[in-house]
Amino acid sequence: MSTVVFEAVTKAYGETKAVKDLSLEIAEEEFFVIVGPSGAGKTTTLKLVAGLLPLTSGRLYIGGTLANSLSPAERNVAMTFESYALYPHKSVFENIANPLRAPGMRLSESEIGARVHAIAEMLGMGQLLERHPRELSGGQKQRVALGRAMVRRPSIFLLDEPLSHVDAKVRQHMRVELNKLQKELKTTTIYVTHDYGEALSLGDRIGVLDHGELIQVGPPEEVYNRPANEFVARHLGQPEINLIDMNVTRVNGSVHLKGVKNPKLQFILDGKRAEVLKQSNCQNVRIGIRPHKITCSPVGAGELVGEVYVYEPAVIFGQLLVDFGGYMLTVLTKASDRFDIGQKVGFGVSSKDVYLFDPRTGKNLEAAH
Amino acid sequence: MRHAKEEPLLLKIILDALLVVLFLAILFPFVWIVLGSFKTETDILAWPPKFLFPPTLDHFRNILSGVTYELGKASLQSNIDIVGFFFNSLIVSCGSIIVSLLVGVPAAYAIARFKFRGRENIAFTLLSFRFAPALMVIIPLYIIFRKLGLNNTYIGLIWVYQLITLPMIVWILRGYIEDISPELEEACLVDGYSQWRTFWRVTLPLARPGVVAAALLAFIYAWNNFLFGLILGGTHVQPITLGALQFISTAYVRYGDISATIVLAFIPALALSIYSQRHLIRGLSFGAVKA
Repeated sequence: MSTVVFEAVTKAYGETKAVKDLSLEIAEEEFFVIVGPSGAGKTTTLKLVAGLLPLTSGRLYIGGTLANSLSPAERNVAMTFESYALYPHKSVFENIANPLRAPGMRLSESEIGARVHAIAEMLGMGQLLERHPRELSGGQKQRVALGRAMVRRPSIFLLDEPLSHVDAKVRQHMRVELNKLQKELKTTTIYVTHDYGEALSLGDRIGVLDHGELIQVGPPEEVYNRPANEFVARHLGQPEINLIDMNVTRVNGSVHLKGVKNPKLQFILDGKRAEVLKQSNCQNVRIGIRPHKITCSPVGAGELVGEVYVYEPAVIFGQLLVDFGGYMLTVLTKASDRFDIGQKVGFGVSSKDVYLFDPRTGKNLEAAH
Repeated sequence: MRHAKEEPLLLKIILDALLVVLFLAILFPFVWIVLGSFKTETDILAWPPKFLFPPTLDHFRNILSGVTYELGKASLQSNIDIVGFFFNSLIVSCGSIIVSLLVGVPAAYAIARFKFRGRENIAFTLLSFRFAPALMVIIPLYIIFRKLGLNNTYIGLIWVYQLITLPMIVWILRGYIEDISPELEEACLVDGYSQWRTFWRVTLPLARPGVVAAALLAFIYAWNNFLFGLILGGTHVQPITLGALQFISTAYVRYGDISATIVLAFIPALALSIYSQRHLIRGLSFGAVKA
């Protein structure tokens, strides 16, 4: 049980920086999820904590001690790899026992056996111990990798995309199990994923990484509902958020937004949000609307009318693409809804559900305040 | 699937016939030597060549015990110690493999895993030992060995044999190690082991088929070498490939004894190749195929 503190940590490979100036504090017992697209530097960050890569600059503290020059063996962290990295020449038992046989452990053979069996029972794979990794399914391999990580009772778990290669059914189950395990073991965990769903459901806090930069850190609801910029808004959420460029005009105390391509799409902002826009000095603004915040209605009742481009009924919800005079809007609908291509459809958006992004920087204009 | 069936029968017969011709052409010298080792001197020189003859073990008896020859009026004492040559071959070949493994395994690991300045140059220099003809360096080597007192010693031969065995072991193992995921080593480091122990616990066991294949192949090449022993060794360190030469004298060429020596010489190489065929093919192709 330990804290992890990054102080302006940078990892560079020649000119390219895999991790840029990362400052972050991860609390004791916290389940911290790092989410980002591939190549964002997530795995590099984990390897820096594990001691597999040296820092280019900055300071890294584990459990309060400076860990910059500690070897992996001295850090007492456990890591699982995206490829599982099970030793192919060793049985499941020996794979899990490997950390216990390390020079620093000095455990008796009976104690090793007891601990391996306890972990195997906990992960429900007591009958697999004699097998070799090649005889296991993806989900079983993942459990062996977790077992190997947990058996030593490390101070920190580093989990690299643990669920990305197991099939969908097992993934659901493992996600729940992982969450429960972490709460029971109370071990500080850094979990890397590219799947926003995993991030939102597992993390006490999540950190969004893009091109080696930490863009936003916070509890899942906060990151989802108040994205720091366009990237975060786009990356978290399925289907992807609708982004539309608007012209800004000031009318008395309020601000009017009109669609650049179709002025029929408009919003009136007043009060604090109008102030924010005025202060930003933007002539244009890019708005973001989550697909589930658009409500469909029969033609006439809704404020706006568009034409159905395509509709995908997906059993538990429907996904509708509406052509609205130059804009293609994604709308999340109820499963029972039915639409035909070319059909006219009314829809509406409440102005309070609209995010305002600076089109020049992508920053959320309201996040600064 | 259907293509194979539709291949004309005539073409198949011609191709098979060509393979048989090739097979015979390659195999003939071996068969001839083996037959020769069991023939009397008269049968060996008989024309037309004899394929059916009463076999004799005299030549093997000669070379293994060193028997006295009666040649007309001259009495020739044969004290050529073929068994000694055989053991020279064993000592030099095995010694070379051991030294090459001690040096080559870490070298292959470094070249496969670490990026450092001059990595490809070192790898290429090693490879160049294989494709540069040994004759190019043999005269300077001879002079150097004379000055250092290394000629006519086992150590000298083992040293110069590194030109044969080291590049093979380094290059075969390099490909092999590159195919082992670095994440396996990283996992072991995180498990609490040092770099050195990780190498012994994870890398080496996984690379073992490659080590075996490389060592066997290098051994066969070392065993077959002729030139280095000829120039840099004296009779008491020379390998068996040179032993056969001892039966050629100004007076007489003892073809039967030469044949028997050659048969004796290629038994270990042949046995090793047959025994390790599976290893060799797997070991050699493993590193070559990149996913």
